[in-house]
Amino acid sequence: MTAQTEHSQFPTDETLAAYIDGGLDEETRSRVAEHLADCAECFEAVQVRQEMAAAAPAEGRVVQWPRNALVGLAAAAAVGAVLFLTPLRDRVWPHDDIGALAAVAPPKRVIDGRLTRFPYRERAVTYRSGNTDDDSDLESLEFRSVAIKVENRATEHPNARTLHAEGLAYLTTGDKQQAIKALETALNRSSSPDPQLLSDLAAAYIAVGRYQEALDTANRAWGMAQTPEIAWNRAFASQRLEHRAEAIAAWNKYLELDHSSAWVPEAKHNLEDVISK
Amino acid sequence: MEPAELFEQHLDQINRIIAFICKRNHLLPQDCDDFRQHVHLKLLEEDCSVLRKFKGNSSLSTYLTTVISRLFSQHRVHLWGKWRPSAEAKRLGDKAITIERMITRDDYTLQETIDILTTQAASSYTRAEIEALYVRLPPRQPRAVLVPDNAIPEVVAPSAADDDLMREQRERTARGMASAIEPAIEMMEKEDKLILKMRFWHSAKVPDIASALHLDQKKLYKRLERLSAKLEEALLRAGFSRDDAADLLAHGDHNLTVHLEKRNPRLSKQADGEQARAQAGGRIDRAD
Repeated sequence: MTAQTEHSQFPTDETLAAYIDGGLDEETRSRVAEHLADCAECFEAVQVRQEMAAAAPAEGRVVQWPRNALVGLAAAAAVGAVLFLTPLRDRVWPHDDIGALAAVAPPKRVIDGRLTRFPYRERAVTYRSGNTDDDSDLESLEFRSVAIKVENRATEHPNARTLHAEGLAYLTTGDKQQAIKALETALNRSSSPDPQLLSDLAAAYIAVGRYQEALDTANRAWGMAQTPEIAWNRAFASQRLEHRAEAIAAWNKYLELDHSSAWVPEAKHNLEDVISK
Repeated sequence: MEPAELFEQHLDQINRIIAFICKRNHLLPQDCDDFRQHVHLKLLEEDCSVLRKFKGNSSLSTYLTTVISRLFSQHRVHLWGKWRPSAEAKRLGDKAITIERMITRDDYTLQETIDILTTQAASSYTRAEIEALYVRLPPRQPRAVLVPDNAIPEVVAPSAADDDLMREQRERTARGMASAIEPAIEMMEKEDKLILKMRFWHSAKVPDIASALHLDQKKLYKRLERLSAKLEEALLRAGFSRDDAADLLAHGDHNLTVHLEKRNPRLSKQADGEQARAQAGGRIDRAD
């Protein structure tokens, strides 16, 4: 018995799925399109995916709009039609790349720092070779597929926002030097310093052991906004620099800001670690 | 992570896709269960080789949809026993097969099929699409069935006869137009053929086609204009008027509409007792 689902050598399930998500080069895209013209089975897969995407919001909720809201909605729809012409849309209503990355965050995190909007994940074990234990599961692969899109967008429209997201994509997939480069470029391109960007850059510095730069950057962010992410990175950098009193104060500050998230046990553990030394 | 754990972890997502495909193909609950088991088995086979093949070139959800959709195409023969779809329905795809199955095997009228398929929550069918596919399927041969004497009026009302005539004429025109443009579509470049298939078989709107095939929408409108000119020539050559051709090509979203009237419930849908009475003292008539 075989687990074969593909009817021929081309396109494989992987290639057809990449076609549907718009992830193929022009030559392969064109080959798949030619195949679809004569293959009902593959054409069905394209249709099913499109119909599922269309049905998702309809199944998700039913909204009763007041009658007088419909005129406003029609006007909004007309404006929406114009706005959705890329790349104008990107400028007026940017993609939420960081949100998209955070939504498919891999099951384990490969860095000690905390990234903007990323949910808590247990720290992956890093082996002597530098490899981590998280690179084989499907969530990581799904994250990579989103990361590729984020990277493409940053290449096509390099600005502080897209480069910031690209930096987080690199950092999460373990490419720390590229992450620092992207985040520093994002910082240089931003018209005014963004505390979240500074915090993520601090996390990247922590990842490569540049703890003093990490602390300076996190402190700079802390001066602008006091968020749990910034508090975490600030505390972690202090801890690694063995600034005992500063680290204890910073972890306590973190625990004042965050009482109940999944990050709290690890923060408490770090605090106990500093106190015990 | 163990492959079986991967499967467990994504089971909800897998079952959602299976449920969507079952609903789209109007499967009976027991057939859905059967298909669900088949998919689970296939995904677990060879240490979850299908899941392990995923390299992340698309989202996982798209990958699973592709795999499960293809599994359905291979599995449907098993589901439907002796009934076989026509070659044309197979060429047109799962939706055409569902429509043909409901009409020829399950004995629904076109109108009933439309009602059932379009009134489900978040239906993936539109009336225009069902009608466009219906006229491309081989015409249904009227079945000889027994009906009781009293079910047949002594004098058929003229308006009903006119309606039937109109319906037949509309259906004939729609079928004629469909068969006139199809050879022209077959002659076209592969991607053009795919675009026209979506436009005229599935009544897809231009933005949806552009999105599904990753084409520039503005250019697609121009491309469709050029292709429509070729199809218009084919229709004119086949003897259709310029008005008919223009109407069809300008209104791809609701072309070839047949507008069949709702018929009275057929004998096959009546109570068993009535069927028995019919068989005992009835006479032969045409169901359609």
